[in-house]
Amino acid sequence: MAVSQQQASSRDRRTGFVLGVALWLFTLATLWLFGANLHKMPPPASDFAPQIDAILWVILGISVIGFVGLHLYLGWVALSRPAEVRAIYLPADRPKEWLWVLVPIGLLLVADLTFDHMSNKVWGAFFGKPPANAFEVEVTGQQFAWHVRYPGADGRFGRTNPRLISDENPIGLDLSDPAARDDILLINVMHVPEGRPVMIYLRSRDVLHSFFLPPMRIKMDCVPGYTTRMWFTPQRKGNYEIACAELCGMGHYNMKGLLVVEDEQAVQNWLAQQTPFSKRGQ
Amino acid sequence: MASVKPLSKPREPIPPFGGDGFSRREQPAPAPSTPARWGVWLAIFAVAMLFAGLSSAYLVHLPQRSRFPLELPSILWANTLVLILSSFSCQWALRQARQGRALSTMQGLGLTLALGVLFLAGQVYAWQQLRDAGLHLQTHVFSSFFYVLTATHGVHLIVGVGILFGVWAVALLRQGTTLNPLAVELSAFYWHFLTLVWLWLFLLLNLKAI
Amino acid sequence: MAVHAEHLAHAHSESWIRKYVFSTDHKVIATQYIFTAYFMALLGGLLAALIRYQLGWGDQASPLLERLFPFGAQGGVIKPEFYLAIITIHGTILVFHFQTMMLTGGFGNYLIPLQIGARDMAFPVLNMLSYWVFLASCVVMLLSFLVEGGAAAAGWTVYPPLSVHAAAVAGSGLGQTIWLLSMALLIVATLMGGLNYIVTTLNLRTKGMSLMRLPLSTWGVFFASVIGLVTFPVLLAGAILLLLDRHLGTSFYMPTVYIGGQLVETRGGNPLLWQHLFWYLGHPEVYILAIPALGFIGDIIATFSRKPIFGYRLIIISFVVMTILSCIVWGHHMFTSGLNPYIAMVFSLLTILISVPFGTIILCYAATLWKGKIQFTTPMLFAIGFLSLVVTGGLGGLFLGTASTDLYLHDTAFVVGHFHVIMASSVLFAIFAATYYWFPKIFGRFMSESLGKWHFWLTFIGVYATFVPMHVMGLGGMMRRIYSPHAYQYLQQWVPWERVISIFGLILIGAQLLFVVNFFWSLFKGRRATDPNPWRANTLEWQTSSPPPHLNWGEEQPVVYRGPYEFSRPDTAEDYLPQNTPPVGVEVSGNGVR
Ligand code: HEM
Ligand SMILES: [Cu+2]
Ligand SMILES: [Cu+2]
Repeated sequence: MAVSQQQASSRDRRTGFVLGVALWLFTLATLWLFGANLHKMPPPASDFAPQIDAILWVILGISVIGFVGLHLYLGWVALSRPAEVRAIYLPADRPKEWLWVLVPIGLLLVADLTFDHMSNKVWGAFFGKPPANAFEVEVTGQQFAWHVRYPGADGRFGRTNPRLISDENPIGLDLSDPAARDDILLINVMHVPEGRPVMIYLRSRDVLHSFFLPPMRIKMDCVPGYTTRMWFTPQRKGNYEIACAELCGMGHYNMKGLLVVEDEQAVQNWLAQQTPFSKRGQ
Repeated sequence: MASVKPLSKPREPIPPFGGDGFSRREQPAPAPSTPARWGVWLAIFAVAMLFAGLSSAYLVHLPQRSRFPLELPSILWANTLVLILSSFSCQWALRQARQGRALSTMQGLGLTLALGVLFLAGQVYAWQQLRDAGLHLQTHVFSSFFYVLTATHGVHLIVGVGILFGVWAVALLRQGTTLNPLAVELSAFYWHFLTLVWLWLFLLLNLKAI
Repeated sequence: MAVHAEHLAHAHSESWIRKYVFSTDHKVIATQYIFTAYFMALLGGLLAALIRYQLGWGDQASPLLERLFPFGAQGGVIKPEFYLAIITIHGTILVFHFQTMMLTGGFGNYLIPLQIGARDMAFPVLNMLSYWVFLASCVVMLLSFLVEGGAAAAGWTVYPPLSVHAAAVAGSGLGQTIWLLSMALLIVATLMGGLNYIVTTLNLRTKGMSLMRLPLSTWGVFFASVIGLVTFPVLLAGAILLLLDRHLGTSFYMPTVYIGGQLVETRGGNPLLWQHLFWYLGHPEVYILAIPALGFIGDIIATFSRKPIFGYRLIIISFVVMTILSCIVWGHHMFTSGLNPYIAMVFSLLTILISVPFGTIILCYAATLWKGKIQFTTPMLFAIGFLSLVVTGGLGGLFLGTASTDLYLHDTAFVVGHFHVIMASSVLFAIFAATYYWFPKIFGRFMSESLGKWHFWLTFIGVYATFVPMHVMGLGGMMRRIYSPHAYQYLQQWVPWERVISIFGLILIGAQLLFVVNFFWSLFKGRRATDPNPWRANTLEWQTSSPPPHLNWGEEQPVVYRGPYEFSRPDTAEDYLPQNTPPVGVEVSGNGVR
């Protein structure tokens, strides 16, 4: 090589120094970025939200340990390049030394299983049997709006049929079904009671959408031809935005709805003011 | 290149052939296995995965099968038999090739080719029957699957016919003097594979529910 | 296989076309792959710049944009359809046409025969065909911007029904068909390549090159090819069905829907089927990238730490485990899709468990650095940057693999940040490291170290500053694939973030200019690599001239006596010991050991 060994090695040391400092700075910056901004998350507003957040914090804690640990080490390696003439020689065939790797990995495995277990509990609750007294709503996604349907006084949703869809009948409600007569159909707005489980049936009339409630920490896809569901118990009154989280076309970024969480009584009053779909335009 | 000079005292016990850890023995040169064989097997594996993908798509839709009583044309049974026979004749040809009997190999291959073409003709006939019954590609998921599965298999079989024909034609051009048993072996292997795929697809198509 | 000098000489007198265009020499084909893939990277990077421009300053009209894209950006503002086409093609070509092809078709193609001591691939003609099919795929993909309706716009995941009806989104017209055709070509190209790499690795190893003496680069490409062979055909099956749904009126994926004011009557297709078929490839695809990247980084870290790789066997075992696990976790992309919740729990657990082999490899590499005599060359800087990025990105994966947190984070900017760190950036770093490292071998000249270091610093800062904040935005509920963050009240607080991210993103993209300049300058004017083994490495590719001759070796293929990482042995004068240096006391005669 053209450069002398001496020069090369002092240049290496300088590069190593900068690299080590950079790695440590990146670590600090990343920690700061998360630490200083996590409060900007939408404030939790459902019973699932704090549970999901708890899992997030556990994983975050584990990640911080792994992230900081490895970067401390990498930075240290870069900064403290040993001045020896030769690297130490560790032939790679001594499984006893593998313990240096396998022990931390064992710890990682334990951590993995821990938060997987936590997750399964929430998951089981979310997909398990919903509470019996749930307040039921149905949402049908369309490019680019949410049709919100309440079952009306009879508590039953009427049949729908995609072949009946038209501009006047956006979800194809089949009015020959008696259960459909008192169904209330609204667009982009949904009122639900605080403190009572809310069951939302999700459908789509065209492409995939995903019904996303950031403060509730949940989302679920609307799949045409199928009915999916989600439930949660709103815990805080307020107005929240409903977002679409699955790419659904050019208006995807703008497919917004309004979720109002209020007293049970307020919801009932509000519902009473709405005209059932079958009586519209009369 | 680095010179190998022992220093005074090694700090570590050094395995005789270096520290890669696994092979302390001198490794014999790799066996002269035929890359061609590996290549064909892997290509067949890839085709198998293609059919695995189609089959799983089919199985996903299977619960709806009962709602659509698709009657398979009965000629498919005959076709199946023809294809199985062709596999036998192909295997017979291979045996002849391995024993260096070029002429009977060519006869065996010729028979296989004929049976293969007969199978294809039978498949086309089955298509016509379905079409006459008013079952088109779009009619129902199951008619769609029927056409897609048989067509995909058919295309691969046409390739197989082409390959066998190539082997046969080369042998013919050389007037049966030399015949490469490896070529016969690999095309026979592909041919058997297509027979198996067909048996699998035929089984799938006959399933009414899981 | 002794090759006569006559034959070698003959090879050199071939016509220019045979030698550089329709060559069957793996080195030439690899170089063609490398140039083509880098070209696609450049285009993908320009598309990224457009995405970042839109997200940062999308509310301001720019006359320049209107000049550049009279249709896509009328009035100087990128239209939503055009934006969706941009992210779709950006994602597709960078994942497939750049990274996949660079790692396997480019460096894999170049290195496998050289590292195993072979003269060429097992099937040279197939190798050449694979390149030409790949090139066709690139051309076809780029043409799609010119057709009516523009390029495909349903995302790189092309979920139906959005990807089936032109009425659903403009790009689902001809553009989507072209996308599918291009992908079909790409699948065929990868399969032809992968088959070749597997067979070559298994069958053409030179004398003494046992499997446990293979360099990690070769292992990496080998496992990636295995994954490709298992999963790419399934995507082909899915693509065939999608094409039929689009053009021949079948309904594999299409339920009865009402799109664009029209009823599209079908008989009970299943949109989730596509998601399964797509992600059955789509997830392993990440490992098709990650495993070769890890392999290259392994070679580079060992060389520049002057140490044997720590836990070579452990790493191979982890590769095997990752290969298997990667093919059975695809469901983690479908946690919120209505997938059976029990199955989802299994997918979730398996996904989280991937952290075990992945972590093992990273720790093995970290342990390799310990008490090494580290040389901070440009490739080594990128290698250490790679380690930093895979840790950051890998940990992000835990949030997404866990089913219940994914209920929140799925389809948010967290995902975008995550896969840009773990896939886009870390694999990019591996590609850069490999380029700086093997450039003297491939082209016989060095790349400039000082430009290289600047390139590294800017890129390293750039990726952290661009992609880490996306995680935070995702935690804040920012959706992905949205054209503008302005529509939602709760996203307003992230609007300035988008702008800052865009600034760093554009710096990141701009910094790649240093690389382009360095690459081309070095190609013609770089310092000559007179020493065939300038990094003093042990693997075989460094034991032949730079660039290697036609058929790689002189009259005799090398004979291998040891593993690839014999650095700093106390019993040798030099701190390295090439794989083909005969041990003391072994007399060499003719082509082998007596
Ligand atoms: C080099 C490797 C890269 C790869 C493999 C890659 C891959 C991808 C993929 C797969 C997507 C998803 C496309 C989709 O949603 O359909 C994507 C989106 C995106 N990429 Fe990249 N990318 C790379 C580099 C970059 C760079 C350098 C930047 C920015 C500076 C960037 C910025 C973005 C942005 C902003 C999106 C859109 C995110 C969204 O809203 O969903 N990417 N990329
Ligand atoms: Cu939507
Ligand atoms: Cu995945």
